[in-house]
Amino acid sequence: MTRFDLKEQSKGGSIIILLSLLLFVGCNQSPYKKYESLVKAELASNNHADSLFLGVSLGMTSREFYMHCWDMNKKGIFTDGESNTAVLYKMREGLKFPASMNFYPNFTNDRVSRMGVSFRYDGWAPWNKHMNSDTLRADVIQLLEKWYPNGNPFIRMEDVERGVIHVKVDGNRRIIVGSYDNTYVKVVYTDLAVENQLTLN
Amino acid sequence: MTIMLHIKNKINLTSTVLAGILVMGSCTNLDETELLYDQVTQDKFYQSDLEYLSAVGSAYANLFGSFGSADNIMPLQEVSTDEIVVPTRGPDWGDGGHWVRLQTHKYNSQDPRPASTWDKMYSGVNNCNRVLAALEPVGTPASQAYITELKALRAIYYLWLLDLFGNVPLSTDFTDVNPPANNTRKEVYDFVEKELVAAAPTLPKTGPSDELTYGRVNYYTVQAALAKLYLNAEVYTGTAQWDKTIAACDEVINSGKYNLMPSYRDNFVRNNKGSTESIWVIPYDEINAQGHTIPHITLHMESQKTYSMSAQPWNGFATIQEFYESYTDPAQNPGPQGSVIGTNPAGDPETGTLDKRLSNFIVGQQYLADGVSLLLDNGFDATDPNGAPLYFTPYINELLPNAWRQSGARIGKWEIYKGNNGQLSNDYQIFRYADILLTKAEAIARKNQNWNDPDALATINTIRTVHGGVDAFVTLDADKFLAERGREMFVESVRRTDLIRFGKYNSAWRFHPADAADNLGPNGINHLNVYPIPAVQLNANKNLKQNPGY
Repeated sequence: MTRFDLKEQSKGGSIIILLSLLLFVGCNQSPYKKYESLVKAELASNNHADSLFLGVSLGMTSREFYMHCWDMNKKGIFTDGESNTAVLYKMREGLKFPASMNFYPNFTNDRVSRMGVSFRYDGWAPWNKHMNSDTLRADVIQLLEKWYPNGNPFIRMEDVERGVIHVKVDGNRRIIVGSYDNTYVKVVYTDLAVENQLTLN
Repeated sequence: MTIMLHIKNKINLTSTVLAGILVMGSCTNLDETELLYDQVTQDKFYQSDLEYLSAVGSAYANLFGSFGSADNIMPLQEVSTDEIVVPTRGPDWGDGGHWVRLQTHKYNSQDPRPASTWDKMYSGVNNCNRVLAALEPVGTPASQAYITELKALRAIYYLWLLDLFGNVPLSTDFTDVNPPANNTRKEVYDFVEKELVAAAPTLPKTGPSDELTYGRVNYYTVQAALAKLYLNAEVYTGTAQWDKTIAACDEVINSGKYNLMPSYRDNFVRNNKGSTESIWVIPYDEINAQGHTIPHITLHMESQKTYSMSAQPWNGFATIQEFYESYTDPAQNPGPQGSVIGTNPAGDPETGTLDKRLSNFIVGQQYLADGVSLLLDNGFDATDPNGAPLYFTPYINELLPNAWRQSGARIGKWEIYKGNNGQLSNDYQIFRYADILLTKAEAIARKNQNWNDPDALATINTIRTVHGGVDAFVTLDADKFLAERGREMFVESVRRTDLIRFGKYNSAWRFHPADAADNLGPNGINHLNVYPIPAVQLNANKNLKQNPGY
């Protein structure tokens, strides 16, 4: 190896160290770090935030969930949702335009531990770009801030390749908001206490 | 030396940056992936040529749930006909009356199924437009191939919009934000034809066993779509196109890539990927590519125990008795006789035709998963003669408000395998070879104005004997032809279109009084033969006009 090579090698090594430091500092100050710290603090607080929406909550048994949906169906509030894979709630207020809210839970040990929700403006069409998901996402975040006025604000997280999501954590309840395509905004609620327990097991 | 050093350093730097990106990637290790990407299409279509396929796959996503569920195209094509009814069973399936309105042709612009179907189809159009806008500037042979495929797929979305709604706006530019006015049904027809004809020559001539194009639009998909467009051209435009129909069918039939399956049932089993009748399918998976919800929508709640399902069914979709009888009645369907579930209120066994396609239905006594112990329905209706033992009868006592919980033959066409979660992994054939054979036979008969045309009769009898195991017809007429299409194509989302073409959609059948005659629809057809444009769409676009009569 020549002196020149050593010098170049040393230069390359410096770049690696510098980039690693930048990445380390970047991660420490990143929204993800904020999110990670928040999750630790909220789980340590033992606060419980189980309420979701429209009488649905984390921790409901499957029977409680289905009976509640059935009751709401009889009242004409819930109907069978998109492609029969969800429950549909037609939103006539709360967002800028009439919208459809489809949701369906996951159960852990027969209790709601996760809830997937999708929002879509009913008047969306290829030519109605003002009803696209980028607009809807901001509207949904505003709506969720009204639904859950207390607790921590949403954290905006951006991934170069995958786009933007917003995350809110209060006690055991995590809410992630993201766009799905031009039309849909998806929201995922997760019971972090359950998720944590599953990870430990 | 210097160049090599430069390259070496560049490699080092690139590696570092890549490593950094990976580290940065791990900064966001939430489960956000599912929020941002369509995993359905990733699993099904991203086989190679990853970037193109990932983009093109998103345009197929709108097919999932469009067929094989209680939403979108299937209910519009089936619940409005004599094949399927969704009775109101006490507190179940009332849903604001929209299921009853579909059956009785009282649908309106506020109803959810036309609205969700409009949305689903235009979302498909929009996804095609979006990906086309990204691919068109690329200008490589590879990108051109995908452009052709996407244009054909978009044309098929428009074929369905044309059939269901008639005068729909044509939107082909992703960047166009001007609210469009309606196009005429003829203009949409012309667009669909032009796009499909233009796409055909460069699409691959692959068959059902070609893995790379399974579930995607190929040359024969386009020919099948053209055959269906031309078969209904007289309804759509006022001008019949029998020769074009026959030519498009011949492209499929003469390819040698498709054959009737010796067993009708094998087209619809769980692992039906080997079907030689599959021209175009939706490759469903009950976990990763959902939307085939037949167990959910048709089975009784207690059927969960029969099929060891992880979710409870909803006791909805059933067949209308007279349609079931079109299989078992020897006068309508001559063939070997034997014991079949009968049509009296108790469903007592009677002698009838043993058409092998009776596998389309689930009728009679139901059992627990052991196949021996009786399945009981402790919530049975007091007036139901069968009482607690759960027994599906072809007879349905009423449309509403208190149809018996156990009444109605259920949809058994697709194998409902044990351990399902309410969804199925059976692929759904959008275009099937038997349909193309029937399409050609009908076009020949109509062209020659002779339902007893030897070619048409031979085709019908081939299907009857191979798939049904029933006797050949000696003579045919339009009603017998339509009934045979019904037996073969039951719940494959073609019945409404068939009834309209045969002039029967506005006739009376059980649960559906005859529609009042009018000629307000496109080309002077009854206005009910196209669905209303959803009110929410009219409210959001002042240039859009409602279909006449609504």
